[in-house]
Amino acid sequence: MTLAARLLLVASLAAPATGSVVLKPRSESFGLTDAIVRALSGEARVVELTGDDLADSSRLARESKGQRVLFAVGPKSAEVAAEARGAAVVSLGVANPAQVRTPGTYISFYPRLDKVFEYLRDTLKAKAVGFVFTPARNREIALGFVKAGEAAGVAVVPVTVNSTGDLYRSVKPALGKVDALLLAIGDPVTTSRESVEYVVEQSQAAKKPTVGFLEGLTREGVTLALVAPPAAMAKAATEAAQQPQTVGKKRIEVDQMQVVVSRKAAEAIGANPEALGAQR
Amino acid sequence: MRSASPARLAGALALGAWTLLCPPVATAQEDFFEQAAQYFNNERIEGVSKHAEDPKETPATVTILSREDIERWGFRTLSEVLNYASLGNFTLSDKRYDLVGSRGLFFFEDFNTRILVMLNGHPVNEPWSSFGGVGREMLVPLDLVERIEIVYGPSSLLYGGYSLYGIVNVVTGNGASEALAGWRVRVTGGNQATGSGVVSWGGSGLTGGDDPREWKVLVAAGYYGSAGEEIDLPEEDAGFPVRFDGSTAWGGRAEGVDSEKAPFAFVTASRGDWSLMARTGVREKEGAYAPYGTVFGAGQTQRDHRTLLEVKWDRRLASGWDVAARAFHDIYTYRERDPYADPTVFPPAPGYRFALNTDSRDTGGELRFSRRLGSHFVTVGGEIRHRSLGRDFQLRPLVGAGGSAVTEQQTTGRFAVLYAQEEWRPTERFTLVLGGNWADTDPGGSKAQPRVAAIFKPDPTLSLKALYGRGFRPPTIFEASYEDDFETQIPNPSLESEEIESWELSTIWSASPRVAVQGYAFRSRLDGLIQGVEIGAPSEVQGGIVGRSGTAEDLVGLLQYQSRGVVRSSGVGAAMRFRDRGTSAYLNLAWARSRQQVDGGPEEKLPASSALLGSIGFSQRFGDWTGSYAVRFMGPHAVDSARGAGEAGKFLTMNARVSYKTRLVYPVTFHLDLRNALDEEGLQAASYVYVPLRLPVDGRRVELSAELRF
Repeated sequence: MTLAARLLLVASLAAPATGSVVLKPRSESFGLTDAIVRALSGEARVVELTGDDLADSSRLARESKGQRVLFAVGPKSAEVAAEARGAAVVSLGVANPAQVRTPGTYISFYPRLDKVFEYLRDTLKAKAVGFVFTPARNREIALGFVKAGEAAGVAVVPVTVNSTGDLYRSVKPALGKVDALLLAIGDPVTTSRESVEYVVEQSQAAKKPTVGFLEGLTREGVTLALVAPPAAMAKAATEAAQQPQTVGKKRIEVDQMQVVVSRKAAEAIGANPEALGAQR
Repeated sequence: MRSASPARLAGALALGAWTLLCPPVATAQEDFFEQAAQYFNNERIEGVSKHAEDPKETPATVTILSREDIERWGFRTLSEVLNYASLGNFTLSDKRYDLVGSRGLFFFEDFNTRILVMLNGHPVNEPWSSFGGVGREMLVPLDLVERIEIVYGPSSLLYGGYSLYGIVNVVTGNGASEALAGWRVRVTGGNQATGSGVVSWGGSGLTGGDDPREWKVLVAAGYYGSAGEEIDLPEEDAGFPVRFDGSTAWGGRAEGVDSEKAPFAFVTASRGDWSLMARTGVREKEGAYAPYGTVFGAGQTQRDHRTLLEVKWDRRLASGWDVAARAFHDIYTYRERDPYADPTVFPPAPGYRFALNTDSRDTGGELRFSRRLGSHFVTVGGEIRHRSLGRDFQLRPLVGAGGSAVTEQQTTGRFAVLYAQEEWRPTERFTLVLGGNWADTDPGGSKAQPRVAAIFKPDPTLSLKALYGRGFRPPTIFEASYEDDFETQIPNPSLESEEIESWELSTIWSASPRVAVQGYAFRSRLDGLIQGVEIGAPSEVQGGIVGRSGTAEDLVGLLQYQSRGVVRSSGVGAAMRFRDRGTSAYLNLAWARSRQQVDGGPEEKLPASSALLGSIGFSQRFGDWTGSYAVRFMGPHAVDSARGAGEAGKFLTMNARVSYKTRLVYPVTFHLDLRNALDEEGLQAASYVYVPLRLPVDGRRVELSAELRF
């Protein structure tokens, strides 16, 4: 965090609470916090989470008094936000909301899946795709992809990975059956450098694209990323705050989808980056 | 001896400065994987307050080493971690054990009884002499470890006692850990006939339909074996026979007297709220330097067999309370064989072996409740354990059958603690931690300890801590009750606990995402130091012990453990960590001053405790290759003043590692390790159980490992 940003944060914390509280994870990855602060037109009061659940929940208990809605940004912030009793939670940046117990509205990290499969079917001309995931982490997400694929006429082949050995045993055979490989968010496969390097290498050898859902993956050799734009997620979150969910969980996927293409990776599999959606 | 000359010291400091100040080789481009690691997994510590918390929030000075750190620097044992990566802890190795000191405190033959060593939060210190092994005796190979938490100072409020130096908590991975899921095999070979292997399997998944629960299993087993070094030490006159031919010449060359064997097995499993951990392992080590006046070069041995089983249940209740319960059963057996040159005991045998066996059991449980109440977090709980111990010893002839009558001793002990801690965060920038416990031990009696910590965070990246705490160490069963038929040692049933009081200022500053800085300054006072005392007059005998004559007259000259002395310590420490894409570096510097005073006498330096300790590490990744080195400096320290004058220490040792990652169907990593790469012949102070005043550090060892995951 820059000094200016730190001063801004301190100033914002010193100001009286006038609007919703935004929970900001310590890591500034993925730009969600900045987007939601902009979407709230400066009314937001930012509480930065340290990652220490107790410290964070105590801070929220103090800072969120009188707040109707909390925006929780980050994989674990929804659980912390639930400690601020009385406020509804709108959560962003959770990889798999099915594994979080906090009731509230979850803005999906993934774009709308019908748009994802429309792109896979129409632009990549894929008839079958492999979805690489760890069951203990992303079983529910994989089921969602299978259903959405069926609806779009694209077969989704689950590529389950429980270990490094599984990855080495399953990716290569799967590439023989599918037209592209999809990588789940927040999965041990996509957060491991060695695993991503292997998937990329095998996919390039098979001349098949790899598709992630976080922009940063395209810097690591993944062919393209289908990203829910932070601004669109922030907009969806502020809209959801008008009718906050206090019982059960509601999952919202944003309409917009941004295609981020790695030219180098696209050319490595003999694809035309522009044809995949790259901007000149 | 090649000690650290000014030129070598200057060279090391220059190397360190270059390490930390040179621009990183890699660019500062955002690294997706580091960002993802930060986003999905923040750094945590659990060993201080029994819940996960940020190091900036925990009421103690701490160092945390991740799995990546352990692999990067090639640490194989906890002892190496303490020497090369801690902020003031160190070990002296005498080829029996690695014996820990911390921040100016070190006591000969204390067998790590003043530091709490834990495996996944389970104390492994055994009941006999509270020995907590930091080598291969009680833990698991660091291959299986997710992180190591080092806590400095008396921090065992929620554990009872035993933590005068601090806590070391070794946290293993589980079946879902990215590095341990699936099969993993590591084989190592090296000089000194060293060979080791570890096989593990980790698995995880979900069971149940509507309310699925995650299960995780990690199973591992392995073996370490080494013939050890060829010993070549200067000869000196012991003053008593240390050879079977009656010679009193201690030292010279000896081969095959430094071997080590250490098989182990480990399981951790969990499903939903339940978890289980089991570990068993044996370590047999030859004491190459012939302790206790044994015959030089004749293979004195010690064998530690540590088994533990723990079952835990952890659940959040509908009322908002978190409840955790655990039950455990620990077994520790110890076997020691000491060869002595004395042809008069079992003629015509040239000598005999002293054979000591102990078998101790710890059975107990803990119940803990915790709850968040707005800005408050309250933890209350208690633990109880019953300790039983059997011991026997016998003198056996070196050749032939027979031997003396077996002397047996059975004893029991008790440990109970009630504790409570309140963590109050009234404002954004301030945290107050108040806690207390009451412990009752046998031997030792009852004690109460407070903890107060005020933590100020002017900025989310900066934490300033003011810490006050007291800790105690009950006398061990060995210290209070050991007697060998009044031949050399007598018991002391009135022995009381040691107590330490500590004040500390501590800070952590994450100066940038790549640089973190840490520092502390402390003062402490240790009262009622328990130490072995040679009885000089009958009036000095404590606990009402009398000899066979019915008086204390015939106890003069024997050893008795007594509470004598005060140790005052103070010190400062500073650490810096740097991490960028592919580059990692660290620097630790600690200075401490300790003075011991007995019965109002003059203050004296503690022997074997260096005032100055330092360590530096640097690692750079180049594609599939990674090169790293770690250097430690042990400052000068006094030798055992009761036996002579002079200094030891003042040496540098360096470990280096080159790693290469490739693929042979499955991913394989090769490591070339050089331990004590420069073959530094540093000397450290020797305990009073050895003939010489100084003993050398371990020599150079070269190891090649291959690690396969499939």
